[in-house]
Order: sequence, then C-alpha cells, then structure tokens
Amino acid sequence: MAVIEAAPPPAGAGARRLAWRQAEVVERVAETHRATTLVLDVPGWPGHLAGQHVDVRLTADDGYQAQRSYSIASPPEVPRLALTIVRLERGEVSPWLVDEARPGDRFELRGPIGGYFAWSVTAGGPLLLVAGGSGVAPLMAMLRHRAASGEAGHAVPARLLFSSRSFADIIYREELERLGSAPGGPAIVRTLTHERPPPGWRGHARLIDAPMLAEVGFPPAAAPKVFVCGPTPMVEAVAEALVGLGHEPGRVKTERFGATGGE
Amino acid sequence: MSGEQASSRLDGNAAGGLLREVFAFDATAARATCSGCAKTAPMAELRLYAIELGAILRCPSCDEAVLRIGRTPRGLWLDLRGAATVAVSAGAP
Repeated sequence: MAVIEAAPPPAGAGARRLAWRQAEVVERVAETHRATTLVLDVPGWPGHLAGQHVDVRLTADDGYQAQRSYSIASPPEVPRLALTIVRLERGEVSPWLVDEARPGDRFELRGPIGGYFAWSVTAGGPLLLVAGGSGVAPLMAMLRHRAASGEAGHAVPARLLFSSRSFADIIYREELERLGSAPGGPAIVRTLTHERPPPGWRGHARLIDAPMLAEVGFPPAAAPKVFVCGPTPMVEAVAEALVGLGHEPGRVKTERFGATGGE
Repeated sequence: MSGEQASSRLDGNAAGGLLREVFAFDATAARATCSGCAKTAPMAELRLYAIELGAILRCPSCDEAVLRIGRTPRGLWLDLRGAATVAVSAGAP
C-alpha cells in the first residue's frame, strides 16, 4: 500500500476525532507504596468499555509536552474515571501523577481508546484474565463491570490469575478479596514472584507458568475469552503458554507495557 | 498500561490514540497482513516503537515495519508499505 500524507482537518471538522479534554482530579487512593489511583472528573466524557485506555498529556510551563497511555480501571457504569498509575523512576509523567497531583489539579486526556482489548458482559465468556502488576487495571475494569451487571454478569464464569512481586505490591487486594468471596463472584488466584509469601498465604509463589495456567484457566474446549496484561516478558510467556495448552491464538488478547513498569 | 520509555517494548494498543488521528474508526482491532511474511495480526498485537515522533508498528513474526506514522509540522504522515492488506470488520466503533 502507498504512503498517505494528511494535513490536519480544519477546526470543527470531523466530529469523530478524538478530542483532548480537561480532567480534574477529585480523589487520590493509595493502592500500594508505588501505585496510586486518581479518580477524575472529565466533563463531556462519552463513556467507555472495560479494558480501554486514555492518553494523558502533561504540559510544562515552558510548553514541553509529555504523553502516556493509561488503562481505565473504573467500569462503564461509574461516571468518574479511575486511572491506577505506578510511579516509574526517571519517568516524565508518572511521578507527577503519583506524587504531585492533588484534588483540583487538572490535566488533559483523550479517549476512550482501543476497541481490541475490551470486553463487555454482552460479549459473554467464560472470561479468563491474567494480570501482572499494574496490568491488573484494565482487567479490574472488566471485573467491576461484571459485578455491576447483576445476574447477566454472574452468568459469565470469570477467573483472574494475578501475579505481583510481593504481598505489599498487590494492587486492589482488599477489593479483589471482596469480589472473590461474593456470591457469583470471580475466582481469584494470586501468585507472588519476588518475595516469600506471608504465613497463611493461599496462593502460588512463582512466576506464572503453563501448569499454573492449566490449573487456573478454563480448558481450551470451553473457548474462554482471554485477556493478558502486564510487562512484556510476562505477557509473552503467558500467551505462549496458553497457545501451547491449546487455546486458540485469536482468543488470547494481549496488552503490554514497558519492562520498567509495574510487576 | 503505562509506557514511560520511548524505547520500551509496547504494542499497538498504546498507539490507539495516534491511530485515531489517522483513521476515522478504532484501528486497534483491524487486521493487517505483513507484506514481508504474510502473517496477519490485529494492529493491537503489532510491536510498537518510537511513540514520541509518531509510531512504527512492526510485525511480531518478522519485524517488518507494517505501519509507520510520523508527526510533522504540516500534519501526519502515514506509510503502509509494509501492509499487504488491512481488514476492518463491519462493526468497528
């Protein structure tokens, strides 16, 4: 195919273009020592699907702009957007969002973005979610959406396999425990990869591997819809193991983030 | 997803916003066939490089640059020479 060069459309043209909007921080929630959730009010937000993300753009006083993508952790049913952000050392965007942003502060975002890594109850299941570190955020939006959908949500069998470095690094730990023990709730299986688990730990203590996926995941014959999100090496190892177990590659959807990121 | 480094290994999901500046629909689920090795993959599953000045989406199998988007002062520059075809499903949002 050829090369296409496009001038920006005139102002006002193309109502379907993705607009930058002002987001206002309304609440900060400390999730772990490195991860913070910002709850945002975004006037004019058109709504989203669980699993989608936004682009965030910060502009410095001298006009310098830095832009990053963050998954939406809140479900479509909640009008305010929640972004869960892990502070990356030497990052240009995450340190400000995690350490500095306070209620009343504003920044620009655009979205929702991405119809590929997205799920809704109407798409059905079974639903197999595999998360590493802050890769749990878009999958949490799916579980929150499922929980907010009542009987229709409960009718979709759902399992989450969630890998964290240590017990203290488990994002959404208490909410996941509540979801998992609620009637009709998803099965939640956790594994810790870098630190010895605390006494009484009920979960795994190693990197996610094929035996763990075979034990936790649905059998390939059940044709689960699979979403894998985490650091690149984890995502690729999990996707490869799932295909090796017999899951159809087209049903294993993946989303990667940088190796400096969350897990 | 939280890509903080331009050189980090991300995928086409993170280019969804930039793709939306080029295409009138969400292109992350559109399936591109690599002109190098003929592998077909959703744009979201292509490997993403260099988001700051635009994006290069590479084939996960052979590393061919399937799609390149450059941002210039005059606008966007789209190079699809690495894509033999791009298939968009009828229901694309």
